[in-house]
Amino acid sequence: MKNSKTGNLNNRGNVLIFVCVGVVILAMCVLVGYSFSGLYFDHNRLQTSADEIALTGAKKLNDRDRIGQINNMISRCRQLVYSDRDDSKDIKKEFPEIQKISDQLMQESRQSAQDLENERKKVRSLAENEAVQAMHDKFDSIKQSYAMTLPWMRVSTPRVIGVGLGCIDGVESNVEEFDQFDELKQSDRSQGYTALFDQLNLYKSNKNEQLKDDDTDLPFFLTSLPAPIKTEVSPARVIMPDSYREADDEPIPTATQVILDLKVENGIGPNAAGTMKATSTAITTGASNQD
Amino acid sequence: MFIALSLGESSLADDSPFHDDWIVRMQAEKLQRQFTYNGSSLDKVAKITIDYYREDQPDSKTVYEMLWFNDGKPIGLERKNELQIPAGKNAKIQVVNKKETTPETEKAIADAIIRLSVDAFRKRTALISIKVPQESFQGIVEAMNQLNCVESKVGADEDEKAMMNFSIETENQGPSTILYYY
Repeated sequence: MKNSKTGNLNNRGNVLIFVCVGVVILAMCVLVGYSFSGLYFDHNRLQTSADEIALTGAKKLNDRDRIGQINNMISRCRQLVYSDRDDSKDIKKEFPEIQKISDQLMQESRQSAQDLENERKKVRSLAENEAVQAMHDKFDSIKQSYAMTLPWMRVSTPRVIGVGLGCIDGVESNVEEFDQFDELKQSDRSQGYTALFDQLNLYKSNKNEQLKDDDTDLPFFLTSLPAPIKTEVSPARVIMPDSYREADDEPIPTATQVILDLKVENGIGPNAAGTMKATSTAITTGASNQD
Repeated sequence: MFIALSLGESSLADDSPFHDDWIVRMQAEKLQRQFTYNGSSLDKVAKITIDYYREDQPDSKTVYEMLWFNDGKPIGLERKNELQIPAGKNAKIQVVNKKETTPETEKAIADAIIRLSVDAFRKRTALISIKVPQESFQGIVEAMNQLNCVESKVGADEDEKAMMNFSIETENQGPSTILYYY
């Protein structure tokens, strides 16, 4: 009888040990699972934050369609100079008696081309400064919500380790080729200034589309910006980072890139830490139809 | 050499029963929502839309071109069609304010009148008169003065030395003047 009782007690003890071990293993599994899901959650959150910051900056770049408007006006000014030069040549040959007035008009339009180039540089500087500021403001508004210390995990405050301004490969300017001035159109095509893009003949971006002969000194830079399709304006959006490239000195940037990192450490056991990284690229709002 | 844009027969043409004249209409408007960023220098943008039609066919207008100005300085052109007024025909410029007149639109109209006159001259079209809204008359004349178009003070002989002249009129027998570019 005694032996039998002792045997039952032993069995009960074994079950208790098994249950305890099981609970500990289960608790560890839950902890590990919770930690992994926490890491996964934090990584998603970091990526979302990077997207938000990049998008905020991108929207600011073409705020109130300033880039679309300056692009259109530069191309119109180019046409104005071409037209005045064309008139001037004709007048010189056939009506020299009104050459003076024609020269006055020519001088006006050439001066405007220079003025617009200065204005374009002003827009570039303004867009860059405002976009970078907007991205920093956005980052400041969200970074405080990250820091978290749990018994098993510590999450630091994220850091901005890179902010870039650039453009997206394959996005040409929003300016459509003009129908009039056939000679100019043919010349532009032969020099590779225009390209067929989504059924629109658009002027290429980020190159100096100089006129010929007496007006080669005038700069006509058009910025890369999605053109409207009929009345549809392309919205600012996050895109794959592969097509992003940093802007050099000339073009107005129309895309942003943000890289954030976030340090995460475990809180139990031997110290182990890792850094998560999230990169996001966004393109600005496309051009509207112009007045 | 004197090249008259305003011919002596212009007053006869106004009353002509043949209606063989052409009207070149300029519609001026100030653009409110362009270049509204901080520190913009392009804050006085006006747009002039130019179309034309035969006087007896006011419903068949053809848009010729659009011109943009900033504080009276031309900054852009978009040509839509050729100016197909047959050579030798008379044409009258008619200026219309799309909205209220402003110094920006008056300066823009002044420059656009000169541009269109040179263009028409080159195409051998005689611009016989320029009719402007009465409320814009003074502003347009002053802006044309700034562009070296002046009223003659010295008499007919001197007037003949002008390269171009511009006969500016208003509706309802309002003020009128002739400006000369020497």
